[in-house]
Amino acid sequence: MTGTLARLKGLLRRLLARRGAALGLGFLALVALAAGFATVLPFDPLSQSVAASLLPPSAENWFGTDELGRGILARVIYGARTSLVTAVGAVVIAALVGVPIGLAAGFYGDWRDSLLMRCIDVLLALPNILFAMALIAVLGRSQGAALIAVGIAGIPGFARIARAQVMALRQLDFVTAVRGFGGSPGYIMFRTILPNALSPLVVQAIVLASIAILLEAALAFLGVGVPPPTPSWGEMLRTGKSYLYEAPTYAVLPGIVLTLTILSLDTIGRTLTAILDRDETDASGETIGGRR
Amino acid sequence: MTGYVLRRLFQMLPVLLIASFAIFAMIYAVPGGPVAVIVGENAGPEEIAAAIQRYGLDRPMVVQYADWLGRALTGDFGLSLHSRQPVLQLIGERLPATLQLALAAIFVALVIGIPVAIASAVKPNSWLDRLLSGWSALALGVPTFWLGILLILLFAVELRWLPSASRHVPFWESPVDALRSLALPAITLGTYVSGILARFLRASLIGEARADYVRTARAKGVPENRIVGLHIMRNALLPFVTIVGLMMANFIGGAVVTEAVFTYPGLGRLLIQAISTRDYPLLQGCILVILVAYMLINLTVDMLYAWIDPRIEYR
Amino acid sequence: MTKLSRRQFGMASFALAGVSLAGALPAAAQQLKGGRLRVAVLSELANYDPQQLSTVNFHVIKNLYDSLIEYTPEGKPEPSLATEWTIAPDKTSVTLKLRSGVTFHSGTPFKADSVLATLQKGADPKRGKNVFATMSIVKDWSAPDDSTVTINFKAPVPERQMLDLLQFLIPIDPKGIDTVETVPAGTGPYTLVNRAVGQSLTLKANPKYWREKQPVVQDLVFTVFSEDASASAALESGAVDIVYNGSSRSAVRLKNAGFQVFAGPGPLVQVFRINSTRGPFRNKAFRQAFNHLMDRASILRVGYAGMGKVVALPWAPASPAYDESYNATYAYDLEKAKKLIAASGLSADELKSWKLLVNGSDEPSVAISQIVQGSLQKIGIPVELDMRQGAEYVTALLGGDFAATFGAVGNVQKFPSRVATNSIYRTSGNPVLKDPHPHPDYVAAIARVDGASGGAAEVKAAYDNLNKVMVEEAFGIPTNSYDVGLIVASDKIGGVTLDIDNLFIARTIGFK
Repeated sequence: MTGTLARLKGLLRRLLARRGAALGLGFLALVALAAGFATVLPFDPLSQSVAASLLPPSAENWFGTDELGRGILARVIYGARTSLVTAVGAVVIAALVGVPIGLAAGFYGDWRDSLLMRCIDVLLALPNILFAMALIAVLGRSQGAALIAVGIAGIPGFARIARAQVMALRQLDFVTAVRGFGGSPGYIMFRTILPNALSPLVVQAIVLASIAILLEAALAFLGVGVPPPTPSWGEMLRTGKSYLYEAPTYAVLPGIVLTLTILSLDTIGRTLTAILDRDETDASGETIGGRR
Repeated sequence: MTGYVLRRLFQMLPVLLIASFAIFAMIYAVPGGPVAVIVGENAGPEEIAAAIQRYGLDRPMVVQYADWLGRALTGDFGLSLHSRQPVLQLIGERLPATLQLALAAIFVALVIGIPVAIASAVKPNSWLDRLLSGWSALALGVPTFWLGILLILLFAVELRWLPSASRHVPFWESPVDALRSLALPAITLGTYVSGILARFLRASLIGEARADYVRTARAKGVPENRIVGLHIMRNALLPFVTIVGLMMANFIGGAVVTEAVFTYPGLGRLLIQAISTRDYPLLQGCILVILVAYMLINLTVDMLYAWIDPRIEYR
Repeated sequence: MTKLSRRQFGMASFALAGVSLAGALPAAAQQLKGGRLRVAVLSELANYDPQQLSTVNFHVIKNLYDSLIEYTPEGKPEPSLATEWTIAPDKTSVTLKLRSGVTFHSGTPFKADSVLATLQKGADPKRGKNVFATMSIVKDWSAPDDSTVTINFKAPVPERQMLDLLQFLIPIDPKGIDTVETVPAGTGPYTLVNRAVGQSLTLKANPKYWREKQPVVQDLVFTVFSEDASASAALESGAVDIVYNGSSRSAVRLKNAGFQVFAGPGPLVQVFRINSTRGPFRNKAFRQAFNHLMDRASILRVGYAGMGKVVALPWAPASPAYDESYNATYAYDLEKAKKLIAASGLSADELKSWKLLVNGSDEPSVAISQIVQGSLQKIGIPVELDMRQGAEYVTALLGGDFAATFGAVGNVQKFPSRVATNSIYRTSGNPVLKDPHPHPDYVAAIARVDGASGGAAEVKAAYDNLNKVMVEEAFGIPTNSYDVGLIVASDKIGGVTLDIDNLFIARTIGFK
């Protein structure tokens, strides 16, 4: 695994060499730091003061106050925790379930493939958001429920990519060699194929992280996210929307932070794809993403 | 070809059944049944018992599902538990609204997405390309509900040009009112799709421009606008059709967020309402319509493929 | 806001006649023009049964039907289909004279038989719906002739309770009484033209209506909007003339934008409902602490845009039991709350061993629950919110499956014992507190109010006792009244009449 780690380090260095990706990483680092060290910052997202509700931004309250007189900046900072926890948790769930499904489906390629991929089709046929809402109706509103619902929505993506990678790799020399030595299917899938299929999965993880943050915010916007008073960006947009006339900045400022976070992840994801594509081109002499 | 279509339709059935049963079972397992909503919070025990019996809610879940399925197969989708209206009628009122919004959004997406893609594909990696790619990233990154809020702030709260909440007005009844009502949600949804379209179309245009047959055509001295118009565009249409189709399929039920921002009476919100009130017949009807629409649109996309690209064969 | 209809009645002979309000008629009302009135409503009606007095039916009942008597917004009785009513000296019966020359929409003349059929339906547990509970005091009824009806009671009944019953009784055409859910069968100022379910309801003026010069507008169209914001937008764009039953927040905003806002005398009262059979809430001192834990001013401001009044008892200002002094005695005071909690002797773990159930589908509930959560936090009691949506919330409420939750109660402007029609205040078969009722003092206090048929002093003492018991037992902590059935109208609209129950009355409305 040390080789894999070194490869990821190399990727990171090359990412930082690109301006867009570096900016994105910088912003994400800022959000993550604020979220991680929120408790040491002098902000309280829960302290109410109804007399000072719906104030516009000022020196004292940079982002203004919400309907209960809580600082919106404080809630944006703590809301980052909700978003990041959901993103990380959802990626882990989606990868832990999706990757083995994809590996097995691609490796065996027989009826097991058909069965697994039909299940994935069912997941794909219902729009993510509706599926997530139905699941939250079952689990009840909580951070855990939001994370699981978003994670399950991410399973098909991982499964499909893992499957495609296996299909591409399984006939290659080093795989057939391991098989010839009598390697078990599990060994071949997880120790031989998976490490070589890691890069596209990393890109997928980043893509899913941005989808997860967006989906969590959308669920909260629809009123089924993490329950209040826990701050969440989507919930702030939801409440802010009903105060558009009284406090227009309420719904605008948290949205900027949310958008920048998603843009950062998107930029990093695209830059990574470009870097990996170039590697492929260098190695094989043709574009992997090119058309038939 | 007919055989292929029939086979595809046949393959849809198990997916439909599994999905519809899974969702029904999921919602059924949730605490809180439909009775409370029907009788209201001040109802007495007699009234509650009567309602449970009247709607057959005391039967086992599997029996209720089988009963529903049996009727559905004969075209009887039942009455909504909550409003006592035929489910098909309720869906029939929402589906045109959903389709109208989806078409308007796709229109907006095409108007923005195609010029952006062509302009950036003409000279890849030029400053214009980078600018337009940045725009695509923005269109994809801005959450639709936040963009919707910004549009409402500008056009409804500040300028007062357009309503802050939309209703469904059939286009052929009153085009002006329909456009006023549709403008903001269609722009919101269309902006997002234009980002996807522009990205894919640009990639495939550039890919095609480098393809062998284009090089051959150039070598043969075929005029450049003919190459772009006839060869590149035709082949780039493939992924394009896919995206438009996928988006349409997704909007049938998945435009809930945009619908919520503008309080638009779409199918997605009807489904959410059905989940919230545990209105089982309505829930089943909505899911069925959304799934069938999704699958039919997918099938149509695949058939369009064959029409555009005769190289694709059906096995 | 008085009733135009008062003009045509002689003030003569009814026993309990109120003060004449005819002189207070607004001058402008007489110049109103007719036409087509477009009203936005926020709910699809359930059915046309006038005995189903649920909020979703509020916009149609008084336009298709007439009551036996009406109340002015101040709570004074007025004749309607009954022209006079005479209460027996022993208060065990009331005799009504019925208006002559009135016909139902079907053409059937309005006579005593329809009142009898209506009473019969109301007394039937299966068909009586919201009227059934009110009929519990009635023994029997008879009609000596076509224009007279006598109602006998089981025991002496307070006057106000009799009047509430008469105001609640809406005569239904005997021919149509079995199909009244689907086909309206009333005498009202409008008749049904067309209903497009989930979208609109069209009514037209009843040409044979008995009130002179009413209704003012010929066509009445209700459009159903699923959201408050869409209805407001429609009013602002001129697509409708009136929004009925929108939110307080929108009303305040629209008022500032130049629209007229009318709030009726029949508001709801928001009540912090406590399940006193559970956990720390079995402790009386702990419950009483909540009398002082409610930051009522903040709750009213955040939840209802300041429209309404803070109240410590479940009465609207129009209620005969309304007592202003309680609002000061039981004001928000964390020190008093702390003392009561210390007196409860509960441990810190017991104090926080519950969750506050929240109706996640109701925006004001979410906000005001967080305010209570904040107040509890300030005195060192951290509790979680248990957010539930739609059916899940109503099921918990209906089954009493909660420790505490906010839920509004109605019937707070009528005879005080009517509050017991709300689940948390029910005296028997209470779904939250179960049987036997854990607060016998409260049950006795309600019975005393029901039995107080003597003089004013006796009635007042019964009301005072009920009020005292309610704050003592503290299983329901009222926080504020707020408006239901708000009318927001464009400035072209005049002649709005307010109903005691905040039902929508279209017959006097016209265009300036």
